[in-house]
Amino acid sequence: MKKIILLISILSIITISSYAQLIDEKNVTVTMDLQPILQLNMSTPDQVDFVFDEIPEYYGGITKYAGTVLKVSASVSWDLYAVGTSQNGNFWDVQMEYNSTGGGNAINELPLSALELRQYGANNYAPTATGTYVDYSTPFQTVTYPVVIPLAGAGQNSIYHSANPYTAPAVDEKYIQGQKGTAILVGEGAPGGSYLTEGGNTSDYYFTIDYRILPGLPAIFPCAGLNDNTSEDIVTANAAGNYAAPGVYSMNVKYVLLEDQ
Amino acid sequence: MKKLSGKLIVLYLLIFIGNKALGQCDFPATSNCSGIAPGGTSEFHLTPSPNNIDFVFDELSDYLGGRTISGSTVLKLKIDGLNASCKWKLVMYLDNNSSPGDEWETKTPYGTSGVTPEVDLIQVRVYNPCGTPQSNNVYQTFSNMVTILPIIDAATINVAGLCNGSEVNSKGSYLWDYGEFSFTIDYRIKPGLTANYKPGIYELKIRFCLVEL
Repeated sequence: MKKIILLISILSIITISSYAQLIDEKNVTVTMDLQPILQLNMSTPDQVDFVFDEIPEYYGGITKYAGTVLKVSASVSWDLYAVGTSQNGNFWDVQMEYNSTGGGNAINELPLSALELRQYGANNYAPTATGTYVDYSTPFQTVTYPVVIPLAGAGQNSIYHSANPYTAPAVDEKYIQGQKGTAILVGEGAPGGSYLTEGGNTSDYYFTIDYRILPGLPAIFPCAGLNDNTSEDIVTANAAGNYAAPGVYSMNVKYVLLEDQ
Repeated sequence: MKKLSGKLIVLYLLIFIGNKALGQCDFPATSNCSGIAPGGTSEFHLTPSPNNIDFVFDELSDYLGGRTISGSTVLKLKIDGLNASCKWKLVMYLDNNSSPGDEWETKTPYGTSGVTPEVDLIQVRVYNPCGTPQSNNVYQTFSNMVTILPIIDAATINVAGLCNGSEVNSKGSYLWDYGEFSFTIDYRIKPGLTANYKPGIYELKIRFCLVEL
């Protein structure tokens, strides 16, 4: 027992004496709070007006070139989509009708898909999207008269529309960038970045949007349709001989930037 | 007698564990310098204490340009020599609380998408008025969790008082050679936008080890 006590005492003395040697440590705690940033800069008039008061405007439609410029900055992967909406999510809101009802065949239910978009800067992050069109980069369709209804290719540039604009479009709908799905490794959603650093107006973060409305004559909106080319022109949706009732109509276009989902 | 021997064993184990708790700050093989007070007369101060560095990234410009927190840590040394061979080194290394790989410790994730940032994201710059650190006034990164960045780690003894940029590692004190025995530290983080970091709160410890050679 004495030997054990002696050994422990020696070890303790060695250890304690070693504490007289110079050694010490100090610590700094670094905390990093990475908050998600999704920033959409939009250059556009508050209201885009289409006034059809000449016959050529009915035939050829009115195009507003570069009506909107969208610039994205994001610290997380993201999707961007456009959605047309109104009170019921299917037809333009009627603000005023001219000349009573405009005749017996006049219809005041104008499809939201009558508004067409063309985007510059294609959707490069929709590898598994299943829709006929993944974005709005297809050139506007040229219409020849007399129009054969339903028009082949109807809906190719028609805006996605919904009564629930903040519910992200399904995987078979158009997105400006990205798609429904979160498989970032296969590119379902654009990576974080900014138009400021990734090449400006030629990057995946900068989009120019043209608007077109082509009523046709009679005004049936032959190009209106869904993303699977199902026509929504007034005749197909109603009956032969129907056309748009003259009046003032309005709809709302939202551009929604959201974290990839 | 048995009670006494038991108490001595416990005392020894406590002291032994205390020594090992310094982690990568290896115990010195020499004894030429006085230990840290109260066991010795040398001093090692970190101010302010406790020292917490908070980076908050909530603006686009923060992500793109990064954030720098300057002069938020100051180390001050007073080294007393027991003989002329007293020589010391000062190094820094990281502790991520045993998080996977070389990642920051995740305290609170804000979502599930994205990647956890790695430790090479933080940049550290050490300097003093006489320019004694090995990489004086230069931002450095920790490549991984085993990286040890030397602040002072010279092979030969460089005496104090000359203030000529040499790596002073002898006895001396911040009280009369402030430019050689004090160290100011800046921190910088520049996340950028393309790395796709998972939003959240992360934490990392930087350990500063002073040990004689």
